[in-house]
Amino acid sequence: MIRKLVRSRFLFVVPSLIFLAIFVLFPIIDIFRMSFYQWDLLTPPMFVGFENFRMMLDDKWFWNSILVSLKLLVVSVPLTFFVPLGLALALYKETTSSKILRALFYWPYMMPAIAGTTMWKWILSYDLGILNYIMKTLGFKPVAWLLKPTPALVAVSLVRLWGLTGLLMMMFITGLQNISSEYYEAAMIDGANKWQIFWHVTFPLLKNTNVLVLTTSIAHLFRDFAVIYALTGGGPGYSTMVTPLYIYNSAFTQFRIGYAYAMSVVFLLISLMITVFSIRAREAR
Amino acid sequence: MKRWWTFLVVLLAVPLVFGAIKLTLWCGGGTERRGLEAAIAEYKKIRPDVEIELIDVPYAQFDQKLRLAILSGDMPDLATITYPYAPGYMKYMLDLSLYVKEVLGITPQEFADSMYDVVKMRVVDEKGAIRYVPLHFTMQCLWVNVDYFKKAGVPYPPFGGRTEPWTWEEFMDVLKKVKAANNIPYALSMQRTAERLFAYLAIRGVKTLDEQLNFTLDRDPKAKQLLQDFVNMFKENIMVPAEWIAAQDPNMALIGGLTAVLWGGSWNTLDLLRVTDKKFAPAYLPKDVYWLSLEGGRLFGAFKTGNKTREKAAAEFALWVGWKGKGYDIYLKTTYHMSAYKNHKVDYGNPIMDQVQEVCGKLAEATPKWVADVRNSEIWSRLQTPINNQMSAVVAGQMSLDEALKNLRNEYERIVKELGGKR
Repeated sequence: MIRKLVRSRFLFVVPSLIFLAIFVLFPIIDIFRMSFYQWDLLTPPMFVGFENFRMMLDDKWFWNSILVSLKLLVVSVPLTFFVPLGLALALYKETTSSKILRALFYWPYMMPAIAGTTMWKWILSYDLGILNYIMKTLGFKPVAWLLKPTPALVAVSLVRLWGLTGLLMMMFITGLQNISSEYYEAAMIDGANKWQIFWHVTFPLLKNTNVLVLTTSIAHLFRDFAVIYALTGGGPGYSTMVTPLYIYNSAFTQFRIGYAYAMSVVFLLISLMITVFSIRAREAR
Repeated sequence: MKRWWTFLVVLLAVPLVFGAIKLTLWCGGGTERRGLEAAIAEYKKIRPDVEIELIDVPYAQFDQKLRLAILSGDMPDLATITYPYAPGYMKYMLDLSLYVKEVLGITPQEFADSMYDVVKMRVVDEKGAIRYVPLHFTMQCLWVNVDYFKKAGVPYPPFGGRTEPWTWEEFMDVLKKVKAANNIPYALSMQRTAERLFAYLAIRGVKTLDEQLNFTLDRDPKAKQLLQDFVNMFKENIMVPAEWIAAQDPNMALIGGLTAVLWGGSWNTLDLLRVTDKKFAPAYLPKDVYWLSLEGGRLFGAFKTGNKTREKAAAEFALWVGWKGKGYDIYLKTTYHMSAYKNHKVDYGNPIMDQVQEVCGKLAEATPKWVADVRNSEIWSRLQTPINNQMSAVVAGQMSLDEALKNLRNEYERIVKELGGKR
């Protein structure tokens, strides 16, 4: 029996499976279970049935947070896909300058998110920020980056882009370096120009990397909390209040733990649907 | 064999008898940590048998971690606890009254009576047991840019040529005058907190929650007018919109010279003293229907851990560090926080702290009991985030005041429902 197990290699996966079960599967199951309770972390949890889900239906700020998350998805994900791709195309060849630039672009990803975002908060400040100071010096009107809903959403997207570009660029570079030069040689012999080579050779051959970058970007967006927490706190008003931040506020400033669990369940399902849809759409191309 | 047994028993007993009592203390880091470190170093000289390990817990996660620690039964022996959350933890804290006589040589009543009333009601539970000692006690007050006021020729109370607090109208005139005289973009900085809004409304005669903990803002016609006045202050560039819309740190505008006045508190002292090119002075909050301020800060208490030796040691340290003339003075001198005790003079070695103590002390004495009473509730503790968010949206022009008040009413009803009553 043991010999059979060893031969099937299943035995070697068991430790990882146990780890996954304890730290991933059970907590997820528990989230589902606790979403039926009312709990403030101090008094014992009280079973309330579907009450948390019913409250969620009436909670316009929760649905607003879903909408904000989706808006951010539309603005931010294409940015975090194409900008790193462009940089990767420019820097994937092994030269000294490209290596230095790659390290520079990767550096923000290594910075603690709160530290980097706090720096951006200073830069983008309406009255005291260096960006508006430069704009005023150049004769432009200052921009209320964090004071108006649309600029705030753009600011959040740009700061996310700044933080993530390095990581996603490195993924693309790895993908690009794995493409055999024979494909390019063949395309050139056939008379393809640079755009045709990119669109008909490089991009299709990056398919797996594209899916990886896309899912990483979406996953980061759906679990991103620190950037918005530090940059806008969800404001102005509720205009950058993404679902993870709303859940955090409900759980840890209002101690509505059961309700936060219920929102997490719904958000998990929505995120899962979007991710599967994105991957399917990408793979279908 | 018997000799070996004796040796073994002695070997095991020595650390138990002579070993140090180890206590863990959770604090918020930064200034608070430095103050506690200084006090602990002194305490070590008196009680070398007690070892206190300080653990920094970031402010944003403090309450969450403490709740989880209580839930798991692995709570620290001692912890600093933020004012709004203090009522919720009372039942987990030791009754310090049992140790007061032994440690301080006074009765529990004398101990409680020596504090400002707004502090006393926070540390004593409904049965009269003392659950906390004061530590980081703060009061809201104004900070003025001395040079801006000099240039405008405007006196300020009580150390700038005027003894009485401004009336609200006078205060508005002063802000406009100082702003114009110094050609600055705004006049007043104020952090986006429900506590500041509560103070503003209370001074002008409106109670956010009444004594029965009813939410009254949408039922009181005066409230809407005052809230509209508040929003107008942003529109007229009296106040800094970024502070309420984007939670910009109000110290930035004051220190950067964009505003002349900060509606802050005693806790700003250390930061403002670090500024070398500008001079700031504490001043009274304005007076309208009421003259008052809001207390805040952190209390200090010992948890019921079930280990009697550690509980006793923790209670003794808590009382020592929280009592005037003992560890409390060491803590205050290091942190530049004000004292929570009436008539308690601390030699900070800096005249500005004497001014802060006097300004905030007067405000603490003037503050009516209901101000602390209603805020010492779970409802207020949970209503603060919705108030911040709704008012931020109104200031940003994303929402009407009526809509915000309607939303706050819904939030209030929900909180009462979840709490199972008004508490």
